[in-house]
Amino acid sequence: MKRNLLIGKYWDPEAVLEGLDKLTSQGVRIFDVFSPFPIHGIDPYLGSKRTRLTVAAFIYGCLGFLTAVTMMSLIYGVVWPMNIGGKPALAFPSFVPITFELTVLFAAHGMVITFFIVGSYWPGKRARLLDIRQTDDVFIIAIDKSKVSDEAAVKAVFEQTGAYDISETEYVK
Amino acid sequence: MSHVRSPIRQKWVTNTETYGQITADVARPIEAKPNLLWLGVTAFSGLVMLMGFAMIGWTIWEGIGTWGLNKTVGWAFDITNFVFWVGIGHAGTLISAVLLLFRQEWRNSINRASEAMTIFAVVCAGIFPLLHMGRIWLGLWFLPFPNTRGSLWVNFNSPLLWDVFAISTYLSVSLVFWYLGMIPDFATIRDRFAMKGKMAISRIYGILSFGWEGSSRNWSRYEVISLILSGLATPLVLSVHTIVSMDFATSVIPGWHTTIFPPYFVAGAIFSGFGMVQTLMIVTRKVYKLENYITMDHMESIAKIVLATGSLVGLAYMTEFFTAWYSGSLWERYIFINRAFGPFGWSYWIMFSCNVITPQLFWFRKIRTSMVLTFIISIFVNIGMWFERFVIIVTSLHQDYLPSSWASYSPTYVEFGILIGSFGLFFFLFFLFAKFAPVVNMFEVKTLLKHPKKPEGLKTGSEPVTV
Amino acid sequence: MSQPTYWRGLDELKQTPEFLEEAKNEFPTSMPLEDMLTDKADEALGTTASRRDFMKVMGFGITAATLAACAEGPVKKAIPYVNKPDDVVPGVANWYASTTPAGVPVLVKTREGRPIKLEGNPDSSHTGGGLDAAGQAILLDLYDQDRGRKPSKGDAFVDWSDLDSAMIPAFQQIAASGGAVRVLSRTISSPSAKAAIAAFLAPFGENGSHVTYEAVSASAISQAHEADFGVKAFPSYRFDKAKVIASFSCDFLGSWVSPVEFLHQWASRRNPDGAWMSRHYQVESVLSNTGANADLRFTVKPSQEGLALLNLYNKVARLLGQPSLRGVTEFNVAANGLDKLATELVAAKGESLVVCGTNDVVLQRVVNGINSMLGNYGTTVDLANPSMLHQADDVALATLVDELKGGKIAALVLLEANPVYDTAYGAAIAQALPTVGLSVSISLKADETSKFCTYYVPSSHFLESWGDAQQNAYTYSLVQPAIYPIFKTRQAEETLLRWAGVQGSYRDYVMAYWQSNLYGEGLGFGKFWEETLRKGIFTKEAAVAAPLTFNAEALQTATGRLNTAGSDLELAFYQKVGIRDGRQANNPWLQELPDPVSRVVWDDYVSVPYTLAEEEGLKDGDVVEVKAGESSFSLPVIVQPGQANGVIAVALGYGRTDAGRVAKKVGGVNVYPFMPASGNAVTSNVSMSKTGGEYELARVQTYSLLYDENIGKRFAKSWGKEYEFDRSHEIVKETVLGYYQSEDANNPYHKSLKKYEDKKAHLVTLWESHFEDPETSQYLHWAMAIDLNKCTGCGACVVSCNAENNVPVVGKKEVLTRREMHWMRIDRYYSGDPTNPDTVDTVFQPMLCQHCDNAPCETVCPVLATIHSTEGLNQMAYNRCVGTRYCANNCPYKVRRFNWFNYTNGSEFTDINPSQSEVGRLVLNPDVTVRFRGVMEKCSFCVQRLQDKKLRAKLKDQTSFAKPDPNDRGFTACQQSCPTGAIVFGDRNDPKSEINKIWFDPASKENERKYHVIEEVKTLSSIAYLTKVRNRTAEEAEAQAAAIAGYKTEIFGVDMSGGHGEAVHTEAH
Repeated sequence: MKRNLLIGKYWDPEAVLEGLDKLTSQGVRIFDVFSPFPIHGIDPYLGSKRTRLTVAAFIYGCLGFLTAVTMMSLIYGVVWPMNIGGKPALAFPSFVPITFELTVLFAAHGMVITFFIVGSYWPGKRARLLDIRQTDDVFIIAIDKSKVSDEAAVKAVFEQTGAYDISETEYVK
Repeated sequence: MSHVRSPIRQKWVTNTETYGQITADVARPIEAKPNLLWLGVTAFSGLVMLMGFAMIGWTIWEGIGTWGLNKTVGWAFDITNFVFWVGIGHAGTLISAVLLLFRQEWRNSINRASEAMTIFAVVCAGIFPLLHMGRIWLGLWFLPFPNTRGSLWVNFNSPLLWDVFAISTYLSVSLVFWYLGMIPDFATIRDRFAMKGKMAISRIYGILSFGWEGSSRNWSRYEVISLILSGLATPLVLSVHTIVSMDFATSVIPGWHTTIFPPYFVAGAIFSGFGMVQTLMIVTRKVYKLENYITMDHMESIAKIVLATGSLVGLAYMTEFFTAWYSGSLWERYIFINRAFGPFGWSYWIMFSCNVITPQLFWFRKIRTSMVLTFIISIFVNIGMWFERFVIIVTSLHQDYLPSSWASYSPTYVEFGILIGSFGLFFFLFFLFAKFAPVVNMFEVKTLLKHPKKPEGLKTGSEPVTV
Repeated sequence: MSQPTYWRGLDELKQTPEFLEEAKNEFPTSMPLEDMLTDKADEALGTTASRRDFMKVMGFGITAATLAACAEGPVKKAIPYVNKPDDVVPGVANWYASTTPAGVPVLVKTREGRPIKLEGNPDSSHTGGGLDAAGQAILLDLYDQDRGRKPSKGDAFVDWSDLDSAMIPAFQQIAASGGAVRVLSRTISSPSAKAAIAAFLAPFGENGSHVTYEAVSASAISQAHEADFGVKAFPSYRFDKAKVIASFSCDFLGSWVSPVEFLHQWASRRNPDGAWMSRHYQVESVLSNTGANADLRFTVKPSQEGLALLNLYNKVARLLGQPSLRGVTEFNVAANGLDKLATELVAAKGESLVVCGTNDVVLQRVVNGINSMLGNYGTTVDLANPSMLHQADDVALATLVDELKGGKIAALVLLEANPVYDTAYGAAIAQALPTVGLSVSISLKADETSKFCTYYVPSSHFLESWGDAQQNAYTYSLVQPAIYPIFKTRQAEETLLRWAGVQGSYRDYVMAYWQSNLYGEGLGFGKFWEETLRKGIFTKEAAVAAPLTFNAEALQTATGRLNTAGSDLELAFYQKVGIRDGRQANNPWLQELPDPVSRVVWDDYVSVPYTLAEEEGLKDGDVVEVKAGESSFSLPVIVQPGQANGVIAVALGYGRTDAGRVAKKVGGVNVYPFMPASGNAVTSNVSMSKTGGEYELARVQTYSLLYDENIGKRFAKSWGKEYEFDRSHEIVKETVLGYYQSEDANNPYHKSLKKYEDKKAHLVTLWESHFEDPETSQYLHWAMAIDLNKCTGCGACVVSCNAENNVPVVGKKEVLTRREMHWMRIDRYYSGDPTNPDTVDTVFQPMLCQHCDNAPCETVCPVLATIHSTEGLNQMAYNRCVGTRYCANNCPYKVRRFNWFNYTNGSEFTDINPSQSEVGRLVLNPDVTVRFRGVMEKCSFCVQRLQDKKLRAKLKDQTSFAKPDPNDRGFTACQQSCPTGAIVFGDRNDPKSEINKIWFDPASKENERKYHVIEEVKTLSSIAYLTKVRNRTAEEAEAQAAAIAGYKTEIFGVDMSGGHGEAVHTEAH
């Protein structure tokens, strides 16, 4: 969808945090912040909920665990009980390693794939950048124009907190 | 996730004022034209790799008989190389995962390269379990897939099968972890090429970067999954070498049948891994002039880990002897005495001096901070750890139970060829990586830079762009 | 080459209408398939089918199979029969009774017309159903690609018809002109063959004669008996009747005259729990296979043997109050052994036996003297029923050589004789032969002698021939073909008869002979013949021994020569158990059969006694030049413990130049030219010098020690006794009869039993067994017991296994890298003090897959290529194997074998591995897969045979619960061929079986002797070993233990006395 954004560009992450602090205290809702690296302590200002990827990972793990246990138990318990070196057909101790590996395998890959889907990333996807340097050394606070009442105030905050460039732009996503 | 910043214990980035400088420094080799040095070493390692492939081809064509193995010593170079390379791999995961969990910020500048090392080492390792099979073309039979040969499945009791699962899981998970880490940096490279107007190259990196924009919402998810991945990778890395050690520990052969193996192998793996990290880092930081990011402090902390794990390994060696003596079993006692003083005693002493004695030099700061000495020692560590596996495998086998079957073992040129070839493969891959990917994790290093200066050339009123 | 044979077979098939005629009424309509599967098949066949026709059909069948086999790779396509012979059921073996040239009655197993296995005939009282290594391997000579295929004159081939039409007049002409004709042959035990030769020689009157020789001659024995008793014959020895055996360098268990017979007799008295156990003394210079199994062994130089015998004679005479020989130099073996021996011989008067393997008339006469003094004639030495298996006559040979030199011979016919190679006269004969007007060499293959003959005439293998054999005065057996001649050959007897103008087949000739000479009264001859043909054996009444008188005075005059001191270095010649006299040198199975004592394959060498080697600083593989008289030769050295000091030994049968491709690969030196006229050693001016050269000898067992002595040396000194790391008692258990029979609970044997019991109590396992209580179990559980007391290490089982299981031959280079493929090996360990040859003990331990119920190999195979069967077999699925070799690494017994290369067509194995030659691969057993490279293989307990037995049992009883005959002697190939019956095999859950008693019955003494190798690993092996019990007294045991302790104390530099009480094994090289 098309949006009109108010953006302030910074060169210092500290300043960005300061700006966000001010804006949110004025009840301005932050559309997004773009930064070359994760700025620690930024999440509260974005008002975004804690990600549930962790839960996903856990579920995938359980899935892997079950797959492993059922596969081996079925094969040796039901389909093909064998006398291997005098051990019982269902020698659970020796199932442990494979069970563990499959658990990890499922959890890791399941989670990462989910991440790409949620964040809608795929090889060859085009990136829309507000500033070509935003993956290098420029930090951008973006605010949805339609969601703010007093644009001047916002610009003022940008001003005070040392944004070196304040502008409005159309953003398609 | 964390609202708490870990207190900065040490300054891990030196003489650097702006974020842009970091980007510039790291991206330089990628943007620059390949120089002769790089071409030379890459070509050379490429040739060595091809020679190795030739030997592998010969083995598959003619049969395992082209190696020096016999009815008594059924494994030697093949599995030695396998365990050696897997071991190397471990340091990478350890640095990226375990140190992340422990908030060791100094990992940030070396994790990228060491993860790459992990991948390439595991690739090398992967060759051998396949190659050592008498009928490699049936490798698929290692997988438990429903088949038309009646009800026919794999042996879930066999450590070799555990290996299959462990190694494949390990390789794929490390690969994902590594690539995930590179996405933001690929994005950075993409944009730099875009700035320079080199759209074609920019596009290539664009594809690699999955269209990363650096939106904070994704950053936070990104950090969460990195953390969970490290959480998974840590037990994984331990499990992998534990399972590898079980190839031996679960057998009945004196010298293999040892409960101490899992911890001992893991320690050894970390030890050898860090040895290799030293070797690589010393070269990389010098050639790419990255001394500001891979600082002397980094090299020192690595040396300290080598020292620690080296001592652990030494302890393990001695424990083995104690256990053998304490067991009261003549077979056990004999095999260990034979290990140190028998026909293959020389290999034992190479192992011992390289792994236990040389690392002790790292007690001295002077040596830790001398890159030349560190480099030499790291080479010794690599040699020593290769021999550790050789000693465990060959000395235990060549004189086991029935003296009538005792035999000796001497490798053939084919085995040497394959060993050297695997190094060729490893370095060839590493050089490619070092040229086309950021060897230092830019965005993580940037987090270490406090109070940056204002960068030059900040343009105002620039329009949004799509790359 | 198979092409002409093929058409020939087909032609005959076409050309004989009467065959088709017979074939019609041959169909036994009343014969259901089951009968075919049972022994009835042979019976029916014997009574209905005419063998000649059968042979014709076989001819077609075999050539078809030959063609099929000519495809690359072992038999890949099967060509269906055009007319299926009635008595051939594809996939079901036919058995025919026959007899090997060595006179051992055998059963020939044929599959679709191919003989694929020889097995001793269990009905034979003579051999008891065993067969030795050489006998097993003779099957492969049938498929030898270097066999003669056509008659030839010089280099030109001759057609049979032309040959006959040339020879018949030639001989008539000689007969007319009164020229001398000689037939030279090796021992011919066949009466009808002798008749045929006689018939051939008849026209020449007294100008014709038949000379018999042997490469390794014992002619002195018959000569001595002629001199002493006027009977020129080779007596039958009865080792089963002898309580005390005194063998003077006589390798009767290994290579001497009739090993299978002697092994059978000897072993029947080696049971420590039997009524009595024979006491076996061996006095010899070289450590022979027999000496290795003796209870007490003394070493003498060859030159001292005479003295030893003379002194023994006198001691015996003295004890018996008879006149002793005068002027005998005093001599005794170590520890006054001769006195002990004499006393025991006398104590066992009439039940003792003295034999001497040295070909020296005077020695043999002394032996005769001793035996007759002891009254052994008629009991253990049977001169009334002489043996027919050794008829060499050195005198006749010598005369023949003189005649040849003198150009007195008009025609010489050699029957399977190769005197140029295997006699001391070789050079002379080679020189003289071209001067002989007509010389014909009739033999299986053109050899060193044929080169010098006018004609070479190929003869047929015994498996392609008719005939008979006579083991001794009253035991006969028949030879019948099991296959149509593979090449254009004709059996020697038939050839001779043709030339003598006798027409008709040799089969008819043999039948006629038997009808007139052997067939007594009763059921008509036809029945008698078929019956005998089926059983293969025929026995008459034995003659009663007439009393003999021995003339000591006559001996007195002869013995002067024996009082010689000999020299410091003497050169002894001996036969190896496999290669023997070199006749079978082209046989890869035998070349790759490790020598029981030295464990060397594919090589010829000088064995040098331990002490001498120490002095000269010689080690294995050093090349030395040995000078004997004028000539000399160079060979690598093997350091041999237990060999008399001052004696070096070289094996006969090597250095063959014209035996074929395999023999060529071996090389070595032909030492026959050095053989003296009397005796088997050169006793004067022998010298040995290091050439500085080195040579790699292929040994399948590089370490003959039970632990590394060097490490022992280093640690025992400082850390005490146990750091000699002697684990021998975990592997080999042995004791002596003195301990074994005594009740004293404190003697080492009973103490070790106690220890063993305590130990077993501590062996626990996590899992509960997969096998139910044997009492209730519905399943079979195969198990094997090997009696170390009976195993002589002769290697028969090894070759038998190779034949049964298509084990590839891999050649010297591979053995050097320790990649021999044998599924069954015989480990040899020494004990005693190597510096004192008299104290060196040897023990043999057959080692094969132990079929562990807790098999370490099964657990580790990633693809489940090896798993456990419900019958306790450790199965190996070749198709599934991916070749990780993990199983082999994890096998504590190291019995698994890996296919390193593709032996069936790898270029380096051509000429060596039978399965690569188009004829050779006919020997392959169709029931056993030929393994591809990259696959692990190992002993399967001959699972194909076990299945066969089970099926037969089920067919017999018509129930699926039927169990095979519990005491069948032929379950596994090794068990079947073991001449001493050391291997017991069977279903251990079957209370009727012998193995069940050994396994479970605490009352049985076997159960007491039972143990498993490295039992502490808790593999639950299905193979039990029975403790070896040497027939020694407690004192002798203590003396031995002391000797060992002394030696160790010396080398370890710390007091090693005590030890395990059991004989403590120690390094010996």
